[in-house]
Amino acid sequence: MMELLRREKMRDAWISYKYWAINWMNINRFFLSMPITVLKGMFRYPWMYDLLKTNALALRHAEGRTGRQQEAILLYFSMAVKDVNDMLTDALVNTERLVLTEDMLPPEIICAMGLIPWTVEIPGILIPMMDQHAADKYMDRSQNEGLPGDTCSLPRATMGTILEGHVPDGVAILSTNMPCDGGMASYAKLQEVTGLPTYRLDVPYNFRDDDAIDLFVEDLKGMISFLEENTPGWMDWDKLRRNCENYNRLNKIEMERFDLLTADPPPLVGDSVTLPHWYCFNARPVTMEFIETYQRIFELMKANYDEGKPAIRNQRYRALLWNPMPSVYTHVENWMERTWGIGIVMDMLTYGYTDSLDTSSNDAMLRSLAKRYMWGTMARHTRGPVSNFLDDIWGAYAKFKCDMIIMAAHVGCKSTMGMLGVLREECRKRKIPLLVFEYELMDSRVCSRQGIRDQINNFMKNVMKAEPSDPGLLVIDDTMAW
Amino acid sequence: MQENITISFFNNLIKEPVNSLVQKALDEGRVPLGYSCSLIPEPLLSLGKLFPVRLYAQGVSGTQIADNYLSSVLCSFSRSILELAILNGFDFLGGAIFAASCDHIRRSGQHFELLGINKNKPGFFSFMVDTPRKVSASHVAWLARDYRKLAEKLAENYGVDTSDSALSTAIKEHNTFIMLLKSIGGLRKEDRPLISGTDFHKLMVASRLAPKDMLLEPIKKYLVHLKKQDGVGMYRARIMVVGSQCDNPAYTELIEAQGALVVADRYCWGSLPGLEPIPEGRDPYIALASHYLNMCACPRMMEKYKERIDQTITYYNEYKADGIVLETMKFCDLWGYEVLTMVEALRKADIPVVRVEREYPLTGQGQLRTRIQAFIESIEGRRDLQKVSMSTRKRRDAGYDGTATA
Repeated sequence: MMELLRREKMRDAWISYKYWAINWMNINRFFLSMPITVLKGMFRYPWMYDLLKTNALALRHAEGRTGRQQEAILLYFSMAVKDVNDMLTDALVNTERLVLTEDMLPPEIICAMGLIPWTVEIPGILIPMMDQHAADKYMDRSQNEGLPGDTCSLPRATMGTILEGHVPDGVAILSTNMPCDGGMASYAKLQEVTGLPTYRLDVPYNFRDDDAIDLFVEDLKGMISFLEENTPGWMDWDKLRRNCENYNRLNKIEMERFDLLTADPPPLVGDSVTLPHWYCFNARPVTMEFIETYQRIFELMKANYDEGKPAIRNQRYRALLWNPMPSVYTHVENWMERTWGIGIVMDMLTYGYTDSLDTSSNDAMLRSLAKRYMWGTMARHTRGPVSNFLDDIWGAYAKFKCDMIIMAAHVGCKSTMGMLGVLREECRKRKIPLLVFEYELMDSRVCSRQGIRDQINNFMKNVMKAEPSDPGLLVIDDTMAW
Repeated sequence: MQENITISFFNNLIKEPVNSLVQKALDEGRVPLGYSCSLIPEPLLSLGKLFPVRLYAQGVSGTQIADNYLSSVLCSFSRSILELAILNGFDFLGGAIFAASCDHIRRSGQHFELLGINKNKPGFFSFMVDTPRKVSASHVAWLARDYRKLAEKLAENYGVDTSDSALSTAIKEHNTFIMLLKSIGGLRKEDRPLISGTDFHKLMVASRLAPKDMLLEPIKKYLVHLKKQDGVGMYRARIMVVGSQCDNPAYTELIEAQGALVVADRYCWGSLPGLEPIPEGRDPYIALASHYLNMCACPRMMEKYKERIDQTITYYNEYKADGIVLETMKFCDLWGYEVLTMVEALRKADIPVVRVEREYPLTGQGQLRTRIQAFIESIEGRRDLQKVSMSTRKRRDAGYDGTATA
């Protein structure tokens, strides 16, 4: 037994080292491919320095994990590092085709037009993940400029990058009314600062109505015409079809993954499930590399499933996580696993749109893309009728056989905070344990990592009457750590 | 009906949601419909025995119960409305119509259904109008579609005639009322306005809290009364108030108590740009949708930020204002972002501007008073500086300061 454990530990260490080396190799390759351009880029966009901390983030996610659960998350990070390098290359070199887009706008159409999407929120999202205090300067800049401190910290950090001039040059801006008023309203300033032509998509409130698709398809056609007029891009329907077919391939794996996640014990949990979905379905149109990585992660999962092996040792709870995990503490799920035996089997970001795209005609593609955009993760949870929020929670809770709900109450998200009371009452009626922890997505000065842990610890001790698997992890001094 | 109508008549109407005129209408068997936003068309809610009453929660002493549902990070307007609803303060209403205007109001409105507000009252319903955030022919048609759905609900629950001709008549009557209010609003452009900002604010709030047909005569008489007045001549600065929705004249009163005169009100519940007639003579539902979408000056309209700035500057000049008080309600994301672009643009246009954050009920008067006082002093200082610089220029041109050249 001891021998087996030792061999497992050695294997985990080797896997960890292997991906650490692969990541550095990819980062170096990116630098060496165009050293002067990258150096200039680092002066122009100082947030690029923070991306060098990626390996530390990957290791935080892998820490204490073992076997396939550990390998899956490291595999994801190695793919993301490589892909972010490609994204940065585009931002530094291909600016004449770069379109600045809002983060809820899926990129299939833009790429099919031969354009390159740059999600304006990328620095705001990524750098607090690397270093919890890296976005502080941007948020402070926005507040100095007069933006209230109670607005969501994601658009607030993004606004800081806009005001500092740290957004890459582009040829046009695409924005939407998703996922919230703050995100939507921030694009006026970007338009003002850059002077770029801007198109805004408007998802209706009753987006599930049949004629909402007609309205939104018309809006998408307006966007295509706008891009053809204002950028060098033109619509290549064959390319769009290929993008949609790739999406369908990925979605097929995702549906199989969903099936495995209903198993007991779950073969993978937490961020090993969430982060690959979050990146591969949203960051760029689905590439073959995304599909291959997803397939490999699925195979790791399948192997655990076939062997009846749990993703984590001592799992005691199957939880549904609602709302995004804190960007300043994305490895909180790792901590929950090791401290309390909580395995997150499903979460809001992953529980998104699940239909395949219809590629039978150009019109059919636009219609199913319209549906994917409107019904996408977060968009449908923070917009539209209240049933979008509650019914999804009950649906996911039942489907993935959860025994508790964890509500990550992001205090800047007014739409979600406005549902907490009813969610509490409904959970009480249904006798579902509901853990609510408050946090600020990008700002650990509002609620520190230990503040988050304390809220979870208190709930687990006082409500669930649980004992920690590792009491040494209840309090960790990481207030100033990356 | 008394012959001489003064502002106290309207002041009495805004003390509570069920004022004397609403009570009278209720006694006559009429049905008040509450609505949350200026994107809800008043003429549609004025068909037959119906009349619109804007949701108003001044006087709610706290939002302890609503905070449980909406949390304390939503704006105090949305929480106050829900609080009053939970306390049965809206039990006189026959329906509550909301617009999906912003995240806060949307959640507040959704709780009417979730919590079963007035659920035992026959005919009561709550309705969320799907209001687009941009203006195009298809978005106008989309909004008109929702107005028609609302009309169906009104016909079903209250048996009112919602035909095009009935609605066209309602639009005509609405326009008459609006033009009367607009004529009073226009008085504020004069150097000695016949009405103070506070009184006008009270009039505007009252005009949305009582049946319009019952208000028409009193407002006409009030206009006659106003025309006999000398006008407000003593003031330190003419102020334009811009920002989040404000249904509390105490805020205007506080500004005017510091010696300013509020001459223009570019906010929801205010008169700018709300008092424009609705085009008549075509499909009334499309006319309503087009009018309300085009008139909406709320930052929720995501494509119109430049128009909003231009419009603000136009009003500023038209009403001969000396400065702008930009008031935003705490936690309002839309106005939080709007001020970033607006303040910069106004300063570029050399317009003095002060930005204040406030709650729905009047709170923090001390701080607000100090800031307004300082702002007025800065306007006066600027005026003095301009006078000095003008006289220096005159002296220089005349060659008295030794700098003039031949």
